[in-house]
Amino acid sequence: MEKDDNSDKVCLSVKEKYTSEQPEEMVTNLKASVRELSVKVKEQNQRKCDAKDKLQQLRERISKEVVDVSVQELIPLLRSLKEFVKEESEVRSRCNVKRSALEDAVHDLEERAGKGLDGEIQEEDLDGLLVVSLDNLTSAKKELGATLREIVSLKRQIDDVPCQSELLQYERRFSELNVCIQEKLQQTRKLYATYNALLEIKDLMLKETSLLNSIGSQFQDVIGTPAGRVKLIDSMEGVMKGIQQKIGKIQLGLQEEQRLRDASKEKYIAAAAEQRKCYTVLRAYQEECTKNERLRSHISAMNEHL
Amino acid sequence: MEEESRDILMTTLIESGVSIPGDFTSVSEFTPEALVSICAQLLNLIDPSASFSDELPDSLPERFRICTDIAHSVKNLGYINDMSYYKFLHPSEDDSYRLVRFLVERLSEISEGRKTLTAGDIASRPKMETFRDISDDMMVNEDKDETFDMHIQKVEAVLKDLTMTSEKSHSSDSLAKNTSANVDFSSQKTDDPVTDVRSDLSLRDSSRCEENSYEDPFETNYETVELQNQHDVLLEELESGSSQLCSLESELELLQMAAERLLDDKKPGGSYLEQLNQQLVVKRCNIMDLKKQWDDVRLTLETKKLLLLDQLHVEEPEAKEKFHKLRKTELDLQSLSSEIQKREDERCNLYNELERQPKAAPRKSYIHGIKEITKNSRKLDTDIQRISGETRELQLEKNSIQERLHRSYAVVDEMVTREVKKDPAVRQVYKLLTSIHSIFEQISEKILMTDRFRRETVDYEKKLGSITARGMSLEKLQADLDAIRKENESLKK
Repeated sequence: MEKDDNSDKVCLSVKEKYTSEQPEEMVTNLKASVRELSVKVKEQNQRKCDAKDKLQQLRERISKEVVDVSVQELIPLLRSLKEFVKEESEVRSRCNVKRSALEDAVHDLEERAGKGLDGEIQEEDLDGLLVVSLDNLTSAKKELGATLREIVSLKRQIDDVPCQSELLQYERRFSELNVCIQEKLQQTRKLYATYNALLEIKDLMLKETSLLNSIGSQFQDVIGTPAGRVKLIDSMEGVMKGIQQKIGKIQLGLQEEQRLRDASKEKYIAAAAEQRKCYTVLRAYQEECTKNERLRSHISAMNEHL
Repeated sequence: MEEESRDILMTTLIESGVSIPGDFTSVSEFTPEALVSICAQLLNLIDPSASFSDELPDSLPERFRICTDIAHSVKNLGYINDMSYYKFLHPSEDDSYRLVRFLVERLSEISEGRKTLTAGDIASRPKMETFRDISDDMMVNEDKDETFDMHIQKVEAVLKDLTMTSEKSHSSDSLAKNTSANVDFSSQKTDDPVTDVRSDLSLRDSSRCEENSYEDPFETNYETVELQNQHDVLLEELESGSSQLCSLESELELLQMAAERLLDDKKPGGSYLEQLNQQLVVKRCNIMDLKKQWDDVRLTLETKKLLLLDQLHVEEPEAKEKFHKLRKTELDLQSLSSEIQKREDERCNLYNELERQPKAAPRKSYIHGIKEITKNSRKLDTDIQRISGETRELQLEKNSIQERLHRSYAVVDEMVTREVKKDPAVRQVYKLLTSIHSIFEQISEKILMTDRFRRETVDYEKKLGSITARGMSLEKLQADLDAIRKENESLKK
């Protein structure tokens, strides 16, 4: 605050030396306008608070004393009534204005017709009438244009809602896309699994290649001495243990996948067998129904004969 | 996505005038009785001459006959999928869904009186690429001289790498899962212009103290701009506050009117609602009457005006031309007024029609949804192409590494074999070497078998799903068969 005050003082002192009237007046006018607007905004906020308080009081009063009628049902009707009253007054005033204009025009023409012996009209008066008529025509055209634009807008809104056949097309498309997406997801998963398997195999091959290269490089040096030979054998046995653990893990995974595959296969075979049985039973059922109809027709024929 | 399409079909059924028995919310929940009822109603609507019963009798032979007739009618309409009586007696989710959709489409085509658009016209069908196993027949040969100068420590390093293999495999699996799951890209953040404005203001404030005393006009301009901004903000606030105040006062007025009517007289509220409705009807009639009166008066006055104009005449040629122009303008004005009235009536009719429209989502939302799904499908296509290419490259790389491995093994095997001939004590080394190589090969084979088993499992599950979706129950069929056989035996007697 002190710093701002000091800067203001410096500005004021500078303004005393190099002031010009026009910018200063502009600043003064703007400050006055801002002050005035602030007062108006404050008054408006006060009025808004008062209106809200009154609304709250009325709502509390209604909720306490009125039980059998819902205010939510009544207020829309009152709003509609108010709108209709307003519309009626607007229509009435608009009609009166137009009627007065037309009556004045007709009255003016009547006077002219009665005034002239031969019914002749002066050119100046004709110009005035023409101007008025053209203005009316222009206004009517504008009104028609506005109405047509509104009609087009309403038609566009009506057309924006799809019809039943269009909805069914969308529904079919959604269904097809859903099936397609599911299939692609499955395919993606399969591809990633295959990629991971190949990557793992590649890594193993690289390790084995490196191991073989290291054995080959040092074999001639260590095979000649008993100590080197024993050391080489120990190292190879260590590698052996490591890869045996690895193959154990892989074997477990393989057995699990095989078990899952076998379970799925058994389920599929059982379902296929059941489906074949179902078709057999369906054929037998159809034959029995046909036989039933034949027997019924035979019985009805016998009854007619009797 | 799936629920959305099912909701569309159910809504369409209801709007078509089909009464759905029971409280089913989707086609998949339909019982045979419900399915037969709905299909019969749809067929009766499509073909007025048809007269299918809405109810399914208890007798099995009659059920068979009715379902056979309905199936035959559906087949005649052009249903391309398998259609038989057991589709009704033993419905499955997919078959019921396709059947009802087909019938509703036929009904809408007849009611709309136009040909149904194909699915391709709405959105192009994305291409489906199937993955094929790629076998590389070409052998990649690499002539590369390898130096053999590794030591025992490197062997230990290889052994250490083996223990980390599981971690690497796990990390690669997690990366693959993340890649497959992350299909959509996150949107980029945009710069906030407010921040830029603030930074400009802060720069201005920081540089204010450094200004020279001779730059007074700049300070004045800055102050003017600041005051102008404050002025604009206050004006905007005043306008928004004014609109809010008007709405509050309007609401207050309505509530006061409601309170006066309800609290002062203390009569039953139902009568007030009826009175208000009557008043609304009266007001609407008054407005219409006013408009009609105005039309009558307008026509009368305009006609009178034209008659009066006809009585006038002019002598001068220029004035005569203007006079004709005046009469033409008046005639145009009269016809334009009539046109305006017609358009007003049309506007009112359209407005009423718009209000009667069902509350459905606009066309854009459906089109946008389909476009989004199609875009995601194309992303999956791109992903599949990329992973296919990488898999192919990896296969080639694996083959080349395998060739190198075979050469390395041959060299070492020859070396060890030569030493075994010289010194039988080295036989243990040879056995270990052979075992290590064999186990490595077995590991590779087992990994490939695991992958093949996984793919076979997916295929079997897919086939199982297609069979299960048909929804055929052997127990129900056998029970029906036993019942019809008993009935036939009783008829024979």
